[in-house]
Amino acid sequence: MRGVSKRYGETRSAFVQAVDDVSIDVSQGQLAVLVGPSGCGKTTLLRLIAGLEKPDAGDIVIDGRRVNDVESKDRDVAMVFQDYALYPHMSVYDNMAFGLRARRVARSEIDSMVRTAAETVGVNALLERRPRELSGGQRQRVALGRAMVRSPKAFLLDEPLSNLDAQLRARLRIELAELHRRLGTTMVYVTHDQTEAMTLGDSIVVLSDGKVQQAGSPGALYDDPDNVFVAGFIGSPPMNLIPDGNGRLLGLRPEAMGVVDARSAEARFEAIAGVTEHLGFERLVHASARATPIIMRMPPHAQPPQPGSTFGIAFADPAVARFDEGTGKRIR
Amino acid sequence: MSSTERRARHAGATVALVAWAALSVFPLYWMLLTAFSPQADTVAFPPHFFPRRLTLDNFAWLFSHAAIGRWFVNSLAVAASVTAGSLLINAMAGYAFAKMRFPHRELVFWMLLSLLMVPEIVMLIPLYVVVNDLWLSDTFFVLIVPFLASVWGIFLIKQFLQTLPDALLEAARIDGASEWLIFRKIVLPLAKPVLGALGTFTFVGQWNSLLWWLLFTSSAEMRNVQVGLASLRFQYATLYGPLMAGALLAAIPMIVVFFAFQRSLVRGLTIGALKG
Repeated sequence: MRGVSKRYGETRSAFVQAVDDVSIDVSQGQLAVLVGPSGCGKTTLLRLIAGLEKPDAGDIVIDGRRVNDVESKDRDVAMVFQDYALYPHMSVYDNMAFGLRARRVARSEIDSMVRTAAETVGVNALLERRPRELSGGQRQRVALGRAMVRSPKAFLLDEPLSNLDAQLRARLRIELAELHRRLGTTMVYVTHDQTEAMTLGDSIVVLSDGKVQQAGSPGALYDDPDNVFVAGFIGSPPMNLIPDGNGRLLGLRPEAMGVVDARSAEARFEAIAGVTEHLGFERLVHASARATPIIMRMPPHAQPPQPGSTFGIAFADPAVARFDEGTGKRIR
Repeated sequence: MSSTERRARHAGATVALVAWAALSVFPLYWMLLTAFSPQADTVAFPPHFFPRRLTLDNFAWLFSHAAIGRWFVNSLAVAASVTAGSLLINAMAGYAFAKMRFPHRELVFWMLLSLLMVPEIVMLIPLYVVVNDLWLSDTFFVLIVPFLASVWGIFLIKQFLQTLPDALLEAARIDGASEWLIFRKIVLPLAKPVLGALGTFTFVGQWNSLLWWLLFTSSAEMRNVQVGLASLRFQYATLYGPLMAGALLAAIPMIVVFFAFQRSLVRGLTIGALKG
C-alpha cells in the first residue's frame, strides 16, 4: 500500500479519517499483523486490501498489479471475518464449495479441493453439518477452510480469534502459525491484541488514529520503539515511561530495572513500593517513581520490597529509550 | 378464591367460549348445508337447520350453467402469476433498499412509503380512466401488472433483509460471486420466512379480489371466481344453492394455502416486531 487514505462521512467538514497516508509493504509469504486499539483503522485497511472499500488516495498493489479499480472477486484474496460469516443455510461442504462453484470449477475438482482443505483445518468429519450446529472453534476452522480452499494469493484475517475463549484462542493461535508455516501463503492479520501480534507476526504494523506508528519485527518493536504509543502498546506489562524532569521520558522495560537499596550507588532514582503480583514464573512489582506508576518484573524467588517502603531502582544505560515528553517521539 | 368459586368461573368461561365457537362455525355450517341442499330447501321458511335431503345438483348446475371452470382458471392464473412475479420484484427492490448504496436511497424509499398513505379507493377512478384510454380493460395485463410491485411488500422484505449481516454478502463477493448469484444463492434462501408470509398474503388477497375485477373486466370469460359467484345474485332472486357450492369450492385453495404456510405466516407477522 502506497500513501493510502480513506475517510468516511458525507460532507467535507464532518468526516472520520479512518486511514491517513498509510504505506505498508508485506512481502510474499509473510504473516503481517496490523495491530492497534479499536478505531485505529486496521479493519478499514484490511477491507481496502480486500476491495470492499475504495481508497480516496494512494495505490494498493498486489503481486505487482495496481488493484485500486479491480473488484474483490478478481483480486484473488480470501478473507476470514470476525463473526466468521458462514452461510447459515448451507452445509459446511457447501460453504467451502461456494467460491469454487461461483468460479465455475469442475465438480470433481471441487470435491477433492474441499476435502483437502477440510482435512487441513480438521473439519472433515463435519462436512454435512450446518454452521449453527458447530462450536465457535469449529466455525472458525470452517471459515479458515473456506478461505484456503481456492488457494488465494493472500489471506486476510479480521480478528479471527476474538470471539473465542482464552484457552481456545491460545490453541488456535498456534494452529494458525503452523498453518502459515505449512502453506507459505501471504497473510495479513488484524488484531487489537498485542500478544497475538507478537506471537504470530513475522512483521507487525502498529496503527493509531489511522496512521502507521511503527512497522517492524516483533523484536524491533519491543526493543526499539519509535514513540511512546508503541512503547506503551507493545509488551505486557508495557514499557514504563518515567519523566526525567528535563522534558524527556525515560522508557524502561519492566525487566530492565533492578531493585536495590535506596542509598546504594547503583540507585538511579527512588521508588515507593506497592503490591506485588505473584505469577508463578515471575513477580510483578507495582510501584511509583517520580509520581508515575510503574511495573517491574522480578524473578519468582527474589524478595519483593515491602509495600509502602522506599527502594532504589537500578538500570543500565543501553536499556533506556528516551522520548520527547511533548511530541512523544524517540530521541536517538 | 374457594374451589366452588373457581369451578363456577371455569364453567362460565367454557360456556362463553362454546357459544363464541358456535357463532363462528355456524356460517360455515350454513354454507355447507346450503351447498348440498336442493333449491327449495334453501329458501324454505322457517329454515331447516338440519339436512333433509342431500344433493350434488348445485355443483352440477355450476358446471353446466355457469363457467365456474373458467373462473377458477382465471383466478388461479392471475393469483399465481401475481404472487410469483411480485415476490421476485419486491425481493429485488427490498434487497436494494436494504443492502445497496446508491444516491438518495432514503429519499426514494420514503417517497414510496408515503404512497401507503393514499387509500386505494381514491385512485380507482383515475386508474379506470387511464386503463380505458390505454385500451387495456378486460385483459390479463391490467389484472397482473399493476400488482407486480407493492410498497408494502418492498417494505416488509427490506425490514427483514436489514437484519442480515453485511459480512455474509461481502464474503460471497470475495468468494467470486456475481451480484445476481449472491441474490439467488444467499439472499433469497435466507429470506424464505418473509417470502413465505408475503407470498401467502399476496395469494389470498388476489384470490379474494373482487372490486378490481369488477371494474376492469366486462366479458363473461374474464371473470374470476369471486365476480362469477357475485353474478349469481340477480335483482330479484339469488341462487343460494349454487352460490354456496361455489363459495365452498372457492374456499378450498385458501384452506390449502393456509395450512401449507401456517408456520411462515405466523413468523411473517412478527417480522420487525422486535426491531421496531
